Amino acid sequence: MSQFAVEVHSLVRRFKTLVAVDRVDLKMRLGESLALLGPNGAGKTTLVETIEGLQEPDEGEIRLFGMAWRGNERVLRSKLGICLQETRLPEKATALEVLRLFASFYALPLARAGQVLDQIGLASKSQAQTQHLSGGQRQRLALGIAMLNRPQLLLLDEPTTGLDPSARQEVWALIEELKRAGCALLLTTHYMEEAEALCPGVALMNHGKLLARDSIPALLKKYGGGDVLEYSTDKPSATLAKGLPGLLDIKLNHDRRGARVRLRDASLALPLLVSRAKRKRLRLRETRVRPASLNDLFVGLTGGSLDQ
Amino acid sequence: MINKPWVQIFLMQAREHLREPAIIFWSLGFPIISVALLGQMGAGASKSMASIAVVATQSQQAKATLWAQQAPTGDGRFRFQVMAADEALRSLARGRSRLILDQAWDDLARVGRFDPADKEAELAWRRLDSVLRGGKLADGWIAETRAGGRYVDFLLPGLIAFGLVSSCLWGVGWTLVEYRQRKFLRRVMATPMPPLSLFGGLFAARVLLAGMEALTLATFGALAYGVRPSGSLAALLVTLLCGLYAFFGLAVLMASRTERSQVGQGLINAVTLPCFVLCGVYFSLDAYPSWLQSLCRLLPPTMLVDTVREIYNAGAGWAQIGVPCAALLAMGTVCLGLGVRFFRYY
Repeated sequence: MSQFAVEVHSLVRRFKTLVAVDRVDLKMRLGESLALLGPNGAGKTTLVETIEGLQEPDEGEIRLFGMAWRGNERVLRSKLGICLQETRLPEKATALEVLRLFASFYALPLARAGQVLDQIGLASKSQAQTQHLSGGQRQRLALGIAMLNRPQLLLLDEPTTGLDPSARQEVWALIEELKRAGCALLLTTHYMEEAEALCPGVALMNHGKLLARDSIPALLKKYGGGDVLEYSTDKPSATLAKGLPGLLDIKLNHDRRGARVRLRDASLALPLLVSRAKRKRLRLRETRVRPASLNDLFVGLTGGSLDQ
Repeated sequence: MINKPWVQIFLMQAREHLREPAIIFWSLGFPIISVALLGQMGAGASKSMASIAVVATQSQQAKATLWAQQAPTGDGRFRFQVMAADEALRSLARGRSRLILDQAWDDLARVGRFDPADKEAELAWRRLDSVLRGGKLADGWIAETRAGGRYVDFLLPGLIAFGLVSSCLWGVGWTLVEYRQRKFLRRVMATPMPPLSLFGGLFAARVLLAGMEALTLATFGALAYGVRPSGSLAALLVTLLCGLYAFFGLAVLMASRTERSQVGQGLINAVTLPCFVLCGVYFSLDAYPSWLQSLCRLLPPTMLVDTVREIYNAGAGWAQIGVPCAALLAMGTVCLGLGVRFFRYY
């Protein structure tokens, strides 16, 4: 048996003139967790759905557990747990009926539906129709469907988008439980904190390409890390931060009255910034210094933000 | 057995149907109301009454009114209203008057004016002219209310057959398009379930639900109007099953690539709306030119409507259903085969 849960080689997926996935290579070991981070339209969903066998690649190769999709569909589908970005379940069916329906698709005994319902904390809602469940409960039910067959690879596409913080925590707890059972996890998200909470490894994606892949601390170290200095001024000044010591990148505000500056060490640059402002008769209105985050790194790499 | 995918899909469909009061009304209640209302047409038929616009100039008003009061009404078949020429024309156009009795209403040179397409108006004119000439209309006719010869006997089998067509197209075609649009189909197909289980479950559910609709309508027709099949009941069941299979196949084919429910709705309407006119559900095809009649009778929904009607009204049995049932089975197999072959699961 292959030591890899996922092997993707030079994968390309096009929609007419748009290249949604552009020569992506990706490997995940059995039991490994990886978060795919990127803004909307980065190609995360297309990549995951192609891995799930729901979209055909135009070029490249996908192997799951050492097997290609063609000829192994039923075996592979029985090993995967999937949570799509959007699925509207039958509104009039109860939570228990939905789980029984999907249990039958995996040829599982219907009693498994009751076990999963307990596991996802919806036992008290077993007779509630899905139309009467809250967003968080519906998402837990969707995860419950993904858990039914005790999957070896879980593919979750933005599982907490649109949920409030407490519902998000509940979903995270469920995912953690699945990970503890030895399940590999590929998660797409544009929440950095979700990636940090659930996956030691992250891959950054934009415009269909994988930009970088490593642990968050390693990525920050590799691509500069450092501090972020954010300031605003009373008048436009595009050159105020130019040439500051240890400067990594600058992103000016839209009105040019301030910027977000990433530096190796803000304590060295801040006094110089203040004296320059005084010399240029600019008033510094707001000045903030904080450690650089993954989002700052993403801005530095792409010019865009993760939560766009 | 209970954890077979097709059984669970069957149960889901049945529950979705039975838990929605609006679906219950439109699938069971509405056809009954239709039969109840339309069944009255002809049931209480008595002498028809025609309103006659009597044209008179200003100076003729008094004379015309006196004439109208004294004119024979053919035992209440005619009601006269005196009015000016332009008003009479408006009254005819709006359907308030059936015909216009023009100048010289009081002698043999009288002229009737009416829409030639209105056969009732022509009949009324002939009767009126006869009565005004002193003739008497025979009153020795009897409203035919015995089972087999009424409009409701014609209507009910057609509605049962058409209900089945409609149930398949909306209940299967629309459902599949909705499942696709809601990404539910995609989620289902991401499991190891064989795709044919999906169609098996939908077909089983349609047998139950369309069967319930047909049974409800047939029971109401039998109890309220005494409309009962004069032919073989077993042949009727087989014919309905063949029809169900044919239109289930058509529904799967129509839904095979459609991604938006609005497009699905348009496709279903494109099939069902012509059925009202071309399949003889509400009125006989005999009014059409013979070439159009031949064409209409080749349409699968017409075949189903005609066969069910023959079993109900003409005592048809196994010998008469062979050809139409074979045609319906062939249609179902071709449509289902193509639909499954080109079905967009994701």
